[in-house]
Amino acid sequence: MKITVSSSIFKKGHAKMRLEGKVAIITGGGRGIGKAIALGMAGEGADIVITGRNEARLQQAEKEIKDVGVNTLAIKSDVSLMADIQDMVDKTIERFGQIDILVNNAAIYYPICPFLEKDEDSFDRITSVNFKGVYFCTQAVARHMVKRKYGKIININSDNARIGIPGLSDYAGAKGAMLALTRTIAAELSPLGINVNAIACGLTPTEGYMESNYPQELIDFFVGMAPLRRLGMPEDYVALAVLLASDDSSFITGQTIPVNGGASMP
Amino acid sequence: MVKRKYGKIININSAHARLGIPGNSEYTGTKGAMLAITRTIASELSPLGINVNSIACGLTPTEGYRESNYPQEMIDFVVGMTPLRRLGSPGDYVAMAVLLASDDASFITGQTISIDGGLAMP
Ligand SMILES: NC(=O)c1ccc[n+]([C@@H]2O[C@H](COP(=O)([O-])OP(=O)(O)OC[C@H]3O[C@@H](n4cnc5c(N)ncnc54)[C@H](O)[C@@H]3O)[C@@H](O)[C@H]2O)c1
Repeated sequence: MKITVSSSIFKKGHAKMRLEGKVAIITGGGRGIGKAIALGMAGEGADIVITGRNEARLQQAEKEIKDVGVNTLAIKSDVSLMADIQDMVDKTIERFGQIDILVNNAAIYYPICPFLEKDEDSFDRITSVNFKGVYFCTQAVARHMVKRKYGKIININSDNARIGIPGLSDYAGAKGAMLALTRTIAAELSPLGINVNAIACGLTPTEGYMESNYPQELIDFFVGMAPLRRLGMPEDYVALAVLLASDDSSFITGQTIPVNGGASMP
Repeated sequence: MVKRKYGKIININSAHARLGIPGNSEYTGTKGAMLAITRTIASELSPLGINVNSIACGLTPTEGYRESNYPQEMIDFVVGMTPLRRLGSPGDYVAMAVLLASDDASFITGQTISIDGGLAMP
């Protein structure tokens, strides 16, 4: 029987600098949950690439990540544009020579709106960033990863994929697509050495989330339902993201792991 | 734990709780019960400061596992169906257990996390 986990895991102080020598791309890493994950991965020694559409914000985040003490690259790149996705991969390879970790974090929100009133415009924009963007970023990066038979893909998902929250039908639909995609891509790519997993985040008051205009009663309802009785913070997702990016989780694939205070327990 | 308003409970569950693998029905029944009580106890104790989670392990050739006498064809079938194409080893569950035992996972409760090479993808 092949034992694939190194016994160094049992040594005191093992869990330090677990991502040294790795290169991670975090899409939409300029703020919010993505930025927290970028900083956390930098703290474990990974070189970091962040992408996004807002250059000033990216530069600010790039500086903060660099201050952690790792090499950092910010790329202006829109995940809904195929040419930008290829450019993101090319620039990363040009600078670092490899991609070990992809965090599909970029997403957009729309103000809460009843299903019966939704229009095609918001549907198309949400699905093009939150689903198509994830799909083709993963494909472009995975084409590189399979050559090295190594890769960690982490999708940032939401409670919305599994619970019905009113007013977010297109956003939730795209996250449901991500749930299915995480399983399918794991089934296809894990035999080739790539782990594919997701973190299903709970409600977290980031700048993006504020754009959804959740009514206060809905937030109160959520907090009351969640056994831990609080909202999330971007920092809540960092340790699991680092674990999923590391070789300590080499037997985990295809999972969408809720970090949500217990708001849903699938 | 409730007196100190602090605690981390980690149940070691099995892929059997979520998959129909033939044989062993009373064992899998107990694991189904564990899946349910992980949720219920989380909903009762997390407001009191206790995180309750569980790890659903895949087939792992430990001494206890050998007592089940799984037929080789079934093991081969399971490995073939597993995206990572291998069985588990005890070390595979350590990092998640450490994470769940730490304060870095303070927002995780009620979850049963599958670590089984992708055999179950709930
Ligand atoms: N905040 C929450 O309550 C919550 C809950 C569950 C899941 N999530 C998920 O977490 C992830 C991060 O969300 P957040 O709350 O930090 O939001 P945010 O808006 O603060 O951050 C999202 C980032 O993605 C970038 N982005 C948006 N569209 C892009 C595009 N086309 N190309 C490249 N970058 C783009 C944004 O500029 C921003 O930097 C998202 O996938 C979101 O769905 C958030």
